[in-house]
Amino acid sequence: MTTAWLVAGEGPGVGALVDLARSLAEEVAAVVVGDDADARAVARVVDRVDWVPCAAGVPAECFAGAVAEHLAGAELVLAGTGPASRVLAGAVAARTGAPVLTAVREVVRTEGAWQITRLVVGGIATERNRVPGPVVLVTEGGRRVGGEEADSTAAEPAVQRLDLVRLPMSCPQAPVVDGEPHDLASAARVVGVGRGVRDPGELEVVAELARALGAEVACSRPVAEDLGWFPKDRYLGVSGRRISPRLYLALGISGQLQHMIGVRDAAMIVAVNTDRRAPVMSEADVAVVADVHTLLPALLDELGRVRGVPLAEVAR
Amino acid sequence: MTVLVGYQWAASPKEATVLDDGTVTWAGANRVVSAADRVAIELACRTAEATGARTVGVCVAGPQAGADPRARSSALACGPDEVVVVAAGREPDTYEVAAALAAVIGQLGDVDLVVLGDCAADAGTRMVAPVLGGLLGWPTLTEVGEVAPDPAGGFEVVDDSRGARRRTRVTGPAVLGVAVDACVPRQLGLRQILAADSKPSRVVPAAELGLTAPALEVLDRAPVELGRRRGHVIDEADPARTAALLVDELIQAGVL
Ligand SMILES: Cc1cc2nc3c(=O)[nH]c(=O)nc-3n(C[C@H](O)[C@H](O)[C@H](O)COP(=O)(O)OP(=O)(O)OC[C@H]3O[C@@H](n4cnc5c(N)ncnc54)[C@H](O)[C@@H]3O)c2cc1C
Repeated sequence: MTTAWLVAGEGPGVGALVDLARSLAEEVAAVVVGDDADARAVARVVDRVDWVPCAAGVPAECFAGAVAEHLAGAELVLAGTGPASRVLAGAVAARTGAPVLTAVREVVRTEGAWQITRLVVGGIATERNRVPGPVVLVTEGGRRVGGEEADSTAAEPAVQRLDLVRLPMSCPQAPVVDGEPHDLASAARVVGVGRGVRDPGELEVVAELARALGAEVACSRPVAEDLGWFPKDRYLGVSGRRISPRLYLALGISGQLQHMIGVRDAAMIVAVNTDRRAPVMSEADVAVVADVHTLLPALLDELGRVRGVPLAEVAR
Repeated sequence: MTVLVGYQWAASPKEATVLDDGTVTWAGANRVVSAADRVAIELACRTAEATGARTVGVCVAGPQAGADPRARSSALACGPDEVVVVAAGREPDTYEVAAALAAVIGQLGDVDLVVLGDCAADAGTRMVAPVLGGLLGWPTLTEVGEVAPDPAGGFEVVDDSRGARRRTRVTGPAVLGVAVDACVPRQLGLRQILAADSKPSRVVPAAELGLTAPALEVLDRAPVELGRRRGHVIDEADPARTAALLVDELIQAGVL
């Protein structure tokens, strides 16, 4: 029997990993490094959980060595792209001597080996690999699990507590949260901010539009990394988050391949750009040739009008 | 004590072309020390200067980097005291880069801190630091924005953990993946470029390090195809009319 192991270092945002694991293995188990609620949430959607309690002041990363030892015999390990999950997964790869593959698009089991298709060279090409031995896959974790999708009539799932040794690290102060919490992975609508938005003062209007649409706000990589308008866990693309909302509204984003990889699974893509020939325009369902600065106020008015309520109510 | 900084001698994927059969060609592409790696080098040098340590830059790369002296001089001009290029027979993957760095660290013997560009020490997988940390058994953090020697020993590190700024005290040697906005690299002038000439550097064939690679076979490559979309264009002079047409589209599609 093949067991797929999930490694969760950032809470229960592992929905996509569970789906992938279920398609590949008879049993799905998880190592959850976090609090008791995280462990129970994940336990509702997998077959068993080994829980590594992680108190405040203890970074999840300090269990990397011990988690790797615990998973030394694992054949298939899946982890999300958050920093702690990556550190835990890297340690598992080092311990098992397994290749660690990222930006995974497809995995199948064929002729006794894993066959993996993944993005390479910064997302411009795909590569198919055959891995006969153990493998560690690091890919977008996906939606939070353990909420409404769980079967509430089922017995409380078994969680086994592990007390593991730690590497010498500690956080003397509580982390300072930068920006508002968000759930990009399960958002039905996402507004993407690109460099074309230009003026950070405009972000207030973007936030208002997002509220009116019931959307989360994300961005392109330079907007997070060069301009610093958003925390880095908000940029989309091959090296950032990958999302699959019903609507992705790209504002002033040129649509380079590295960005579009992150939004290709959106059901509908709308692009707003002054340049009709920007690559995003040919990747969109609706390409709006417009200046975001003049379009956004008009769009807010129109949304208020069609809903027959004052703008302030729509935007609440 | 030595601060080791990993870097790549590579061209941006933007300069590559993928042919229909999946071959990736780099004709005319310009190999450089990337902006992300220059940030890592700067942070390594500043930390070394603050502790009286030396900085050694290590590049693990394919045959081109071994043959091209600029792979060493370009990095040396950015600040390290010494540079080692590990030249493999082909472009190394994530695990191979990490294993080669671990081998060099073993040879140097006195490395207390490893600094890597978070996105750029290999082909953008952001997994070199985690695998290296695992191979060495050292505490590892990524998305690092600040690092300072802790007077009590070890380092104090500030990183970004999914939107939260964390201050972590690390005792003993550590591996850090550095965020691209951690600091601004020093300006390169003639003085730095000339100074690079007198600093030691060497090329080590990867075969000499006795590394084993995980079992991984490349079956084929293909260009990336994005899905075909409807491509309906709205191009109106009046913003109110544009907004009305767009909202109508959203309603029709049932996404509002
Ligand atoms: C290895 C590698 C990995 C990368 N990974 C990622 C990744 O994960 N995610 C990512 O996003 N990027 C990534 N990039 C960067 C990517 O290639 C692009 O450079 C980036 O996505 C561009 O961001 P942008 O669209 O915001 O800015 P730009 O490319 O500068 O585009 C701005 C757009 O705004 C339009 N515009 C200007 N003014 C207005 C206006 N007033 N109204 C409307 N439109 C306007 C312009 O016409 C232009 O199309 C990566 C690059 C490399 C090399």
